[in-house]
Amino acid sequence: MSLFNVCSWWSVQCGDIAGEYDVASLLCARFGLEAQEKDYIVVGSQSGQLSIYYPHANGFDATDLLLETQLAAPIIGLHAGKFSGNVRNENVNQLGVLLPNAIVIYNVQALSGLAEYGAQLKLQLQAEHKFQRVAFSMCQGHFGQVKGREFFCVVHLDGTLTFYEQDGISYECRFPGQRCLPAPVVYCQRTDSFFRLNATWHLQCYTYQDLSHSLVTKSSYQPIWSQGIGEGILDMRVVQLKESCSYIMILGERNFICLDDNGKFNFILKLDYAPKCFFSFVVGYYFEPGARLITAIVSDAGKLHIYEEANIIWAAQWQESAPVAIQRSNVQNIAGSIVTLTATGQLNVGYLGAQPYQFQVNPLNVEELSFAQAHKQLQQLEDEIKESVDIRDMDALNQQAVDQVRLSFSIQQEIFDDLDTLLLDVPADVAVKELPSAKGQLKIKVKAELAELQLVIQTPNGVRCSQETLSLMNVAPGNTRDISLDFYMGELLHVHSTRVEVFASFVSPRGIPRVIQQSAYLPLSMFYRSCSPQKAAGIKLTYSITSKHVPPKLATFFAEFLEGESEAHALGLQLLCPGLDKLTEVITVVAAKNSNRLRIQSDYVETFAMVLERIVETTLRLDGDAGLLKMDKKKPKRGVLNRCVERIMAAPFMPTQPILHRVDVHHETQENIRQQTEQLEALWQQFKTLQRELQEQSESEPKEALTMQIEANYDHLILEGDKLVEIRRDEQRQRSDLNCAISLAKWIIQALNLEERVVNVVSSVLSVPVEDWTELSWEESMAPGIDMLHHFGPLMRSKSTSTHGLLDGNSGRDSFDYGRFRRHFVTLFDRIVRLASSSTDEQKTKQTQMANADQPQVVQDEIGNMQRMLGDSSVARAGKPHLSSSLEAVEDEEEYDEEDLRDMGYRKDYGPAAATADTKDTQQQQQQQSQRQGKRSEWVNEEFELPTTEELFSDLGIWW
Amino acid sequence: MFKNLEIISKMDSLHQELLWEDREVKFDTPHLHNRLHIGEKILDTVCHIEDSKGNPGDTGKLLVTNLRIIWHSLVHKKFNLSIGYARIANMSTRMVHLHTKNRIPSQALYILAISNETRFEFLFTDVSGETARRDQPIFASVSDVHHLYQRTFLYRDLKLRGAIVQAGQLILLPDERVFSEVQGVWNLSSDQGNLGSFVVTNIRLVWFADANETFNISLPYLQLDNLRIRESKYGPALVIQTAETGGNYMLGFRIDPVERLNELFKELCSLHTIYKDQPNFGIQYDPQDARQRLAAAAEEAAQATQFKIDNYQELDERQEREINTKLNKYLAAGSLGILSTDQTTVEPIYCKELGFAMEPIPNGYKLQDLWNVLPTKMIDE
Repeated sequence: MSLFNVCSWWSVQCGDIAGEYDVASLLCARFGLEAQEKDYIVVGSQSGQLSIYYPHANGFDATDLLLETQLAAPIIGLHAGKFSGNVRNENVNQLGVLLPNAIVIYNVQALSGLAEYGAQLKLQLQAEHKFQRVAFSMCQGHFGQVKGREFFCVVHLDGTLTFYEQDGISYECRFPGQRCLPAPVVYCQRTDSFFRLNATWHLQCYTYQDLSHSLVTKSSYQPIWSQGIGEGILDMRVVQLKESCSYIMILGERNFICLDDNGKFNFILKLDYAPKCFFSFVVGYYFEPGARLITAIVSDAGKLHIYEEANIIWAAQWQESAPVAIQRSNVQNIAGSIVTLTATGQLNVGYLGAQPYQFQVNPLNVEELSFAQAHKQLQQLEDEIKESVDIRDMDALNQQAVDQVRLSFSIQQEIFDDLDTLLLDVPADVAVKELPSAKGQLKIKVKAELAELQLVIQTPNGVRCSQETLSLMNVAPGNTRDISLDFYMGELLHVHSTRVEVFASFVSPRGIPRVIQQSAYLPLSMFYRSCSPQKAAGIKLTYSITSKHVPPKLATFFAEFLEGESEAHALGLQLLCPGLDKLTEVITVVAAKNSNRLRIQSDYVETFAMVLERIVETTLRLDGDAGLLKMDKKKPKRGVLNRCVERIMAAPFMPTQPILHRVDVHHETQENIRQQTEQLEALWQQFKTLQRELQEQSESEPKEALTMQIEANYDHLILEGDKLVEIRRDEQRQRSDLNCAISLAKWIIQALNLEERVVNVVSSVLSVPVEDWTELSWEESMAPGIDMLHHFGPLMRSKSTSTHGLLDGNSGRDSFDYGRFRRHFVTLFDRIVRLASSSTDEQKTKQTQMANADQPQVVQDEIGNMQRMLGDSSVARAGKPHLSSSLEAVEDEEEYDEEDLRDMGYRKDYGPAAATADTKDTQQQQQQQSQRQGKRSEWVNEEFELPTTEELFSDLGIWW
Repeated sequence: MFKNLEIISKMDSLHQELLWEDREVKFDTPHLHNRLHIGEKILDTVCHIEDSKGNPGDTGKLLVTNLRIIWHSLVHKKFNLSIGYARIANMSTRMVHLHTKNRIPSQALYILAISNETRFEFLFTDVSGETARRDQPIFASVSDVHHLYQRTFLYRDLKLRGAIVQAGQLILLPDERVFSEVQGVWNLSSDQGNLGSFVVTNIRLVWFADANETFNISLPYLQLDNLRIRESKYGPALVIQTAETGGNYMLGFRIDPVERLNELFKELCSLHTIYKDQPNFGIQYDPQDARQRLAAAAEEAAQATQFKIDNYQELDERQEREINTKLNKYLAAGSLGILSTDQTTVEPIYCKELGFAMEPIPNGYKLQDLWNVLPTKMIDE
C-alpha cells in the first residue's frame, strides 16, 4: 500500500458498451487543428469503436467528446504521424488506425460551431492499405532519416514486416530461419535501425539499410547485433537521452531492461510485482545536458511506480481499478498528466497526489489482547467493583460519604407567624388556626462529582415542609446549594415527634450509591403554648436525670418557654394542634426542687410524645456534648444495661390503659372501614345489577319503578361513600393519636433500667410512625412482632427456646385475633415495667450502699451542688424509697408522693409485689433483693437467642 | 398570491422530480427506503448486512435499486445510506474477519465512492453467520446492476457526437421505440447551419447531421429541462434547454414549414410529460434469472479450479521501524487538516522531478522529504 495516490482530474467511461481495451487502445496526440492545441486523447476499442476526447477542464463534460464512430473491424493500434506527403501545415498529423487486415489513414477535420456543442470533427479517409496477413502491431518513424514525413512498418502475426513508404510503395520482409513470434518492433531514429525480439528471446537489431536493401539483394537478413533478454516482453520503447545514445526500454514479464542502441545493457531492474504497461520519456532535451530518463510502470495491483533510470523515485496508488494503458500527455490545463485506460474503458486523466492517503478501512477488533494490559484492566475493574460493594469498613464508608456531600441542616428555635398560607396551599381549616411555623436552613456542599443527588426531607405526620424533595443530576464538585425551608402544620393532627430528617441519597458517576442522613428538631413552641400548670392529672411519669452534666431545671429543656435563668419548677404546656374547641390538652412538667427528678403529667396521652422526646434527647445531647460517655454503636452485649440510664432514667411505669385505648380506637376504626367497604361493595353490586336490568328491559315496559330504585340505591351509595371518607379522615386522626401513644411508650422504655438488648428489641418492634395498609392494618402487622416478643427473647417467661408457643400462635394466624393481640400487648408492657422496676430497686439499693459509704468523702471534697443533691436524695431514698417520686416543688408533697407511687402502673392489676414492698430497712431490702434476683431470672430468659431471620420467617409462614 | 403559490408548488414538484438518487451519496436521509424516485425499482434485497464502517453492530438490509444502493439499519430507524451508482469508483468483494470472536470469515462488499471530491469507503459485511452464505455470491446483484448502470448511460445522459448512428440509422436501445422521424431539420449550432434528421423515441430525442453521422445529439428526456418555440434570426425555431446535469446547453433547431415544427413540438411535449411520469432508466435486471446463471457459472468454476490464490496467506514478517521524522510531522499535520486547507481547489502543477503533473507539495516540504522515508525495498509491497 502506497502512501500516495494518483488523483483523478478528468474521467469518463468510454462509449463502447461491450468493448474491451488493451495497451494499444490509447493514443495521445495532436492533429494540428488549431493554434494553441493541446493533446487529444484517442481511444480505440477491440470492438472497433473509435473515440476522440479533448478534455477541457476538471471533470467530464458532454462536449469533451469530439467524435465517436464505430468501425467495422477491431482496432489494434492507433498512431498519429505525418503519414501523408501532401500536407502544407507541418503541424498537421494524420491518424493511423490499425485494423487486423488493413491500416486506415484518416485526415482529422474540424468544423467549429457557434457554441462548443456545435463543433464537429470529421474523419476523412485518406488512404487504406489492406494486408494479406493479419496485423499484430505497427511502428512508425522517419525511416532512412527522411524529413517532413513518416513511414510505417506493420508487424504481422507471423513476424513478417511490411514497410510502407512514400505513397503506396510497400515491401515485405520475411525473416528466414526459425519461426517468429509476434512481438513489438521499434524503430530507433538515431541509428536508423529496428529492434525486434525473436523467438529465442533475443533482441536483434537490424538496420533500415539492410532491411530495405535485402529485398533487392535477397541477402539473408542479418542482425547487426543480438542480445539475449531471456524472457518474453510486454512492451518496448526507444528514447533518446543523449546526442550520442538512445536507449531501448523493454518491459519484460519480470524485469525492466534498458539497453543502449549498441546492444549493451544499461541496467536490468528486477520487478517484484507483475507489470502491466509502462511509459518512458525524457525530461529535458537530449541535446541539452541534464536530460533525465523517467519511466512509469503500472503494476497489476493498480500502482504506479516512477523510476529515474533504475531508481524508484515515486510510487502512487490508483483508487480505481488498475489501468492497462498509460500515456503521459499535455492536455489542456494540465501538463504532464497521466492518461490511463482500464480494461473496461474507463479513461482517466490524473495527476500525482502529494497528500498521503490514509483513508483505509480501519482494522476492526484485530488488536491483540495483551495479557499484562488485560490484567491491569481487570484489576482496575475489580477495584472499582470492590469500592462500591465492599462494606467491611462501614465507618470509613460513611465518613467518605459525609465528606463527599456536606449537609448542614438546622432549624431555628424561634417561631414565626408570617407564613404565607396561600402560597403553601395550607388547608383552610388549618390556616384559620393561624398556627406558628418554623424556619430551617439546609446547606449542601458537594465535594465530589455525582451522577445524581436526591434530597428528601421527612417531617412527622401533620407537619409539612415547603420543599420536600430535591433532585439534582450530574452535579459538579464544588456545587453548593442553600435552601430555606418553612415548616408548618399541614393537618390538624396530634404530632408525635418534632424530629425532621433529611436524607441525601446520591450516586457517584461510577454508580456507587450512598445515603447520608441528618436530623434537627422543630421548636416545641410550634406545637405548645405555655399555660398555668395543672396540679393533678391522669397520667404521671417521672424521670430522674442521672447525668451530672445536665442541670435538672426546666429551663434546660424548655428554653422556648422559659428564660435561661428562670427558676420555675412547673410548666404547663397546652397543645396548639389540633386545638379543638372544647378540649384543652395540657401537659405539666414539674422539676423537683431538691432532687434531679422531673415529673410529667397530663390527662392526655397525645401530649406526652414531644415533651418526652425533648427531655430525653436534650439530656442525651447535653451529656454527649460533655463528652464523657460515648453512645457508640457497638452491638450490645448480653447483660449490659441500657446505657441511657446513666444519664436519664424513667420510673418504671407505663400508662398501658390509655395506650391500649388508642389501639382499641384505632382498631375499631379499621374495623369500621372494613365494614364500610364491604357495605359499599354490596351496594355497588346492587347498583350494577339494577343498571343491567334497566338495560335488559325492553322499551315497552314501564321503567319508573326501576329508575326510582336506582336513584335510591345511588343516593345510598353516595351516602355510604361519604361515610367512608369521613371514617378515613377519622382513621388518620386515630393513627396520629396512636403514633403519639406508641411514641410515649417508646420514650419511656428507652429510659428504663433494662438490659440494653431488651430496649433495642422492644423499640424496634414498637415502630413509629404506625402504618396501615389496605390489606393489613397496623395491629395485624404488629401482631407477629409482639408475638415474637411474647414467646421468644428476653421477655419470655419460660427458659426453653422452643417455638412451641409461637406455633400455637401461628395456628390461629389466618383470622387475626385482636383480643389475643391486645392481651399480648398488655403483657408485654407489664413485663417490661416489672422487669424495670425490679432492676431499678436493685440498683437503688446498691447506690444507697455506695452513697452511704462515700458520703463523708463527698462532703469533704465539696463536690458541687448536683452531687450533694444526689447524695441527699440517696440518703432520703435509703430511708424512704418512695421518695424517688417525691416532688418538693409541688406543694402537697406527701399526697403526690404516696398516691402517685401507688397509682403508678395500675398496680392493682399487674403491679409486681416487689415494687410496692415498703421496706425501710436496708438489711431487709438486701434480703428482698435476693428474692427479686430470683424473680428477675424468672422473668428474664438469660440464654435467649433471637431466631434467625430464616427460622422466623419460615415459622411465620412468610415466604421470602 | 395564487400565482405565487402555484410557483412554489411547481418548484416543489420540480425539486422532487430532480433526479439525485444515482448521483449522490447520502447519509441518514429520513424515510429513505420507502421514498423511491418515480421509476426507481428495488431489484434485489440482501438481508443480514452490516455497515461495518459506519454502524458496526447494526443488522440491516441492502436494497439494490436501478439507481443506487440503499442500506438501512433494522436496529436504528434513522441510520441509512444511499449510494448512487454514478458515484461508485470501485467495488469489490472480500472475505473479512470482522467478528473475531467466532473466527468465521464473512463476505464483505467494499465500495469506494467519490462524491464532491470526497472519498467514501463503505464496507458491507454479511452478518447472518450462515456458513452456506459465505460461498454464495450474495453481492452479485450489486455489481451486476452497477455494471448494467454503467452500460446504460444513453438512457440517462446527454451524448454529443456519439457513435449512435450507423449507416443513416439510429442504433436503438433495448425497450426503445421510434415514434417519428423528421428529416430536414437544421441544427442552428453553427453559422451555416447543419441539415440533419430528428428521431423521436420514447426515451430520447436524437438529431444527427446528414453529412456527418458522427455529428449528432442524443438527448434523453431525463436531461430535457425546457422546450419551446422561439423566434430566431433564422425564423421560428425549436429551442431545447438541457438540464444542468446535461450541460445546460441551449439547442436550436429549425424545421420548415412552421406547421411541422408545431406538430413536432406538441409531440415532444407530450412525450416529455409521459416520460416524466414513467421514466425508464434503462436497467433491466432479474435477480432470479441472474442467480440461476451465477449458480451455473459457479458450478462450472468449481469444477474447473480447486486452487485459489485467496486460500493462501502470504506471510511477510518484515517490519521497518525506520521512519523519517519530517514525514511523521507531515502525516500528523495532514491528518489534522492543517495542510489540506483546500485540497479540492488546488490545481495540479507540473513536477519537474517526476515529470508528471502533481498536486502542489505543501510549503516547507520537498519531494524528497515525502519520498525518502521508505527504504527502496518497501515500495513494492
